[in-house]
Amino acid sequence: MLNNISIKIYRDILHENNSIARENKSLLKNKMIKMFNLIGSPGAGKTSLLEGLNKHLLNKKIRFAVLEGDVETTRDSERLDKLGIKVSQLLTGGSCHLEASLIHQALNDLDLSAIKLIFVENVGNMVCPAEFDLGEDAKIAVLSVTEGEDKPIKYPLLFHEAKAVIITKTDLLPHLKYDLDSTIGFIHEINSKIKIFQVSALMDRGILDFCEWIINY
Amino acid sequence: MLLSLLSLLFKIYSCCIFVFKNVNFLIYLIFIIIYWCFLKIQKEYLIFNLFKEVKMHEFSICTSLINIINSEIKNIFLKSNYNEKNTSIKKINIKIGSLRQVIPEYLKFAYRTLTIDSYLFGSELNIDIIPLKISCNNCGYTGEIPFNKYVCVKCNSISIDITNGKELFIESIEIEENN
Repeated sequence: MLNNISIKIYRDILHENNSIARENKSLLKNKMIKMFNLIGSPGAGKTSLLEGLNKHLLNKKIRFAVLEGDVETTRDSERLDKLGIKVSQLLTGGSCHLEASLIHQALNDLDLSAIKLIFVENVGNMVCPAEFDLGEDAKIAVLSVTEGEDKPIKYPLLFHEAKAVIITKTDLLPHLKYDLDSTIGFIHEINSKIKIFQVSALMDRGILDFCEWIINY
Repeated sequence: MLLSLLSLLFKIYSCCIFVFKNVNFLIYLIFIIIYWCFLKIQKEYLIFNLFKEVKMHEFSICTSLINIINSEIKNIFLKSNYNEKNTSIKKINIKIGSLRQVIPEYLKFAYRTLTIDSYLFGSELNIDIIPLKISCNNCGYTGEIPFNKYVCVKCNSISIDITNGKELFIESIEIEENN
């Protein structure tokens, strides 16, 4: 005779990741550090945005560190290191996103006494990184004008979770057939409270606004 | 090694012909051996190449899913008189919101791969996708909306709160008692 038993458990599947994320968050709160998680597709301009931010944060005498997530190679860290930015490289070795445990290790190795801000540059991908909380204060979506206008509704979770969207490479707009208003419309459809910044890291446009938003967050 | 295996097969083959007067039994045996080798190879190959190197989010989710199931089952066995021998796990029911963009086939594939050779192997992963639901701040509508059109279906307002669609949890485990 066979007996079937069904046992209700109702447990969060990402429980382990979320509890490490909460640990990271309380660690950073104690040290009065704000952490931002930059998420965008490969080539969206995440590293360039950080290069652009560096100048403004230096002017304001705010020290920051970057946790650089990459699948392979340390090229992005080398770019930031040249500018004198404090970088920790996180190589995921094939994984498409960063998880809270990796960030936890990086935070333990980092000298947290001198810095006020941490930027996590996630692996170039818009699906998986949105799924995993790292203990950040805010997720920030990075979207370039060379991508499609409908990106926000193709990757709804990211734009729903993010507190701000950075539209990058706006200096290219005169040369492109790109409808910026429709992008903004799509973003607002998913998240009506989100803050939108239009920047060009190359021409140093709009970065200061974003910089001030971060400081006052 | 190979020679002794061949001679063993030949002995079984001649026995079969002698006892059963047919070779069906031998064919079954060969199939079982091939299947067993396949499982061994699959485990080494898949876990190395897919899990360790190409870890998509389905694999990460599946790893924590299996950890939770194992700890829950351990708990159940501690509190009751069931154990690994008198039961088998039949089904795991999980619920995933459609906003999570988890592909059920990938998750099932990850589950099969990661449970090979474990107590959970052979159990079914039943994935329930929860549709996107909103509550409208403008007209008060609550209910489902179609995927990729994030406005209120009644008044077209964009001032909406997403109430369902972000779930990711295990609902229940179904255990079968073997007497």
